Amino acid sequence: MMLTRSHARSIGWAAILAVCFALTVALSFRVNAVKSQVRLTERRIAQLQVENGLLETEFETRANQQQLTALNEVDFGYQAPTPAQYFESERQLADLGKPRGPDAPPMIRVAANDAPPAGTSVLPAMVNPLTGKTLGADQPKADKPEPKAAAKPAEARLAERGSATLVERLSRVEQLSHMEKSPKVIDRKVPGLAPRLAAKADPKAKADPKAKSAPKLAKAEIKPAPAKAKAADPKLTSRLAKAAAPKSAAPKSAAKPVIKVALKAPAKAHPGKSDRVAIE
Amino acid sequence: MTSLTVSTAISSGRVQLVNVRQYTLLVAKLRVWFVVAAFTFIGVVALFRIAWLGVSGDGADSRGMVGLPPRGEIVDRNGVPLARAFPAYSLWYNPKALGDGPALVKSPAEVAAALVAIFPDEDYAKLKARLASGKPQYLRRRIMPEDANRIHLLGEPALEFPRESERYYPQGSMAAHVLGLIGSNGHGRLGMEAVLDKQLTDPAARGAPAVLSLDSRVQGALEDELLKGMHLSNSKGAGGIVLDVDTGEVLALASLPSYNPNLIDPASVPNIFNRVTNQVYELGSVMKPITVATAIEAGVITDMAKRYPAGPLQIGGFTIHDSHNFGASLNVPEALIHSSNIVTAQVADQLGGPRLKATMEALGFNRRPDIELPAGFPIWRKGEWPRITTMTVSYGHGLALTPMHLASAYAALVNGGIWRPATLRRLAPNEVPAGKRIWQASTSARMRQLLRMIVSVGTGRKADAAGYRVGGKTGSAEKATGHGYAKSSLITTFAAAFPMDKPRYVIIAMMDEPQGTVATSGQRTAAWNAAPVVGRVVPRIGPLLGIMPDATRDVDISDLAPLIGNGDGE
Repeated sequence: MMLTRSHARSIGWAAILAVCFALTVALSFRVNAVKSQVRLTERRIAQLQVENGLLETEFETRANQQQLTALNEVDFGYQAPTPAQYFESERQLADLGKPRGPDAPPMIRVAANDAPPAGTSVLPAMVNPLTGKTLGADQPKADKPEPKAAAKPAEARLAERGSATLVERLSRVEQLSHMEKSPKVIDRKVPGLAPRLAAKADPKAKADPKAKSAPKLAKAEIKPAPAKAKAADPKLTSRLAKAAAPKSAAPKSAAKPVIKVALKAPAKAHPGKSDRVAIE
Repeated sequence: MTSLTVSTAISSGRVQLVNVRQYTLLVAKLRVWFVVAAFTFIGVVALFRIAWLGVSGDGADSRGMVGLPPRGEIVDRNGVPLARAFPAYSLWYNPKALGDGPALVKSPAEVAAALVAIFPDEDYAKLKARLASGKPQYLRRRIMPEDANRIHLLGEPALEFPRESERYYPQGSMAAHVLGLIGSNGHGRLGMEAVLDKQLTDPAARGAPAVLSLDSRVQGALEDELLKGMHLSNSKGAGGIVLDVDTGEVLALASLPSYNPNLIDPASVPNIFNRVTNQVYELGSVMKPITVATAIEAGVITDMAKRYPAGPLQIGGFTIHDSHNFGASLNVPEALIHSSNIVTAQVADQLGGPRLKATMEALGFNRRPDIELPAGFPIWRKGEWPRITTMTVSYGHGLALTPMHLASAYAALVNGGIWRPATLRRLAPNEVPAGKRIWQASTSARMRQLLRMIVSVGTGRKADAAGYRVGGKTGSAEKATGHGYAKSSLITTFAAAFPMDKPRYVIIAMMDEPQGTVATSGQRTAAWNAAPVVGRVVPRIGPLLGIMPDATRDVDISDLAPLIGNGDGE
């Protein structure tokens, strides 16, 4: 069959039309697919908003004014600030920057990062990537250096409760090193002393079933004591020592390690009230 | 086809057979065509449907309605939600959940016992009867999610817990009297829920929250301290207002004892009554500063040092007394500090009834207070006041007002003399009403000095929050009964403003029938129960409202200070 020129042209037009139509349909399908996605997303957003609203409501209910007041009365006891707690001007603020006078009371530190004792490193120990062991962990224990001040497992705080004043506890910066997870490194010399000290330091420690490792941990507390005493402000130490041992034998030397006094004295004077004594 | 040709050639009996076969084939063909056509039709329809969906999208588009709450939120001025729609679980009993058999898996008695274990306040016998009745019904509205989980664990398909949108007040009983109530039909019945009902239910407007002028922190502090004061003084009730003196916005409005709008039970129904706006009281001495200000304005008091005789005042068979004997004479600052009825009555007498009445009418004392909430009508003497009425009204007797009236009047007293209506809607700076002038700015300045002196050396000393320059006036009035006054039941009020060098907020604290307790040193007057509440509220709310305590500032009272002797009074 012969195709005339006009036939071919009309077939061509028809083909173009068909292609265009197909493209249009495809495009509109695509557009609507996107539209539908948008709609789904909007629905999801609305759903999340509802969920948000629920959580918000729950939060507001749990933290409503009456709850906060009750919480404050029982737990915190915050009170409205007094005029003395406000600054009138920048000059008043600058006035606080004066050097301390000769008989000024010792400052209360609320943050401290005492330098670790000599010989310890704050760098994490190297771990062998093949065996997964800490470098030097396979050496005999006798060769090991003294346990480090940083080597305080988190639970050691239990045993520590009676050992530091409020100021010290507030200002302590926890060294979250890998050592925390390996209580093995703790020296096990004098096995009998540790449990006794732990029991004295914190009478609750025994009763607390979570404090299984307390005897072991208390051990960790004993060693770093001299180092800590060194690091602490000698004036503060003596004051604390006096305050901590009001009824037991008066501390003969002001430089007595804080840790010992705090461990023993409160337990004798006011068992179970060591925190209070330390604060007074 | 071959069989067909062969068979026709052989016998006619076969032809018959062939015809049958032909017919059968035709039928089969037709059936096939029919099935094919049907399938094609379905396919085409499906294709068209797909194309239609592809081109037009699905028509039902509820985008506008998504996320729109069934009833609008109410928030405080800082956007803290005070009332919102909350899809709570409710417990619905659907006996048909298991088909036509028995409604419950276990016996109704067992299920009722299990439900009582979850909701101890339910009545076992009633619940059992309802379960046994086999009628679909709500067993309980608004249950906690953990309770819903526990019910789910009972394994009873008939116990359903659909989520239904309910009105929920996250702050519990806080500001309950302002927010009001929702009726069972979902419309507001009381308080701002009723006032804003149209806005809260209008689909065009309910998407945006309705903003109140309240500040939830201030409201919380006020309620907390009022409740403490109420318990310390063994009062029957208490009320309080914090009002912005420059705009008339109410930052806090409390009436105690309160109720929990989330749970209305018979015990809480009497507490729905709002003491601050619904009840009128003879407020007593708190009216004295208004009398004095009017007298200063009218030129009756020109000399603060002028002394008035302070002996009992005989007026036509009626004697005006003071709570104590303050000596032979008092000047105006001393009269305010000691709260002398006698001197105030003399000042009012000189001022005259018409002028005092005109000022009080300008302050709105002859009509309901300007507030959105339903409010009480004052007991107001119409017509010309006799001399004795002028005198008693001057110190707050023979005129019963709501505490709301008093708050607006005190705002005008200290803000330079402009009275503005109180409102519970947050006002944008351009919406603040211009107000009307009642007193001159100079009068207002003088009153600030006098009010400050009452707190620094007078009866309001317990309200003197350090650094906040509080000024105010105590008022203790015996409740009016049918015949005279009940000596045993007092209404004590402390109306204050702070900071007095540039007043920003008025605080009213009111105690209903306080008793003398150890905490109030056996006293029942406002100085011992209402004033300490203000003294404790101000330091709590001051910093939140941008008022820092400052011991180095105060209103200058050096010109009045030499005029005061020492002494005590109500």
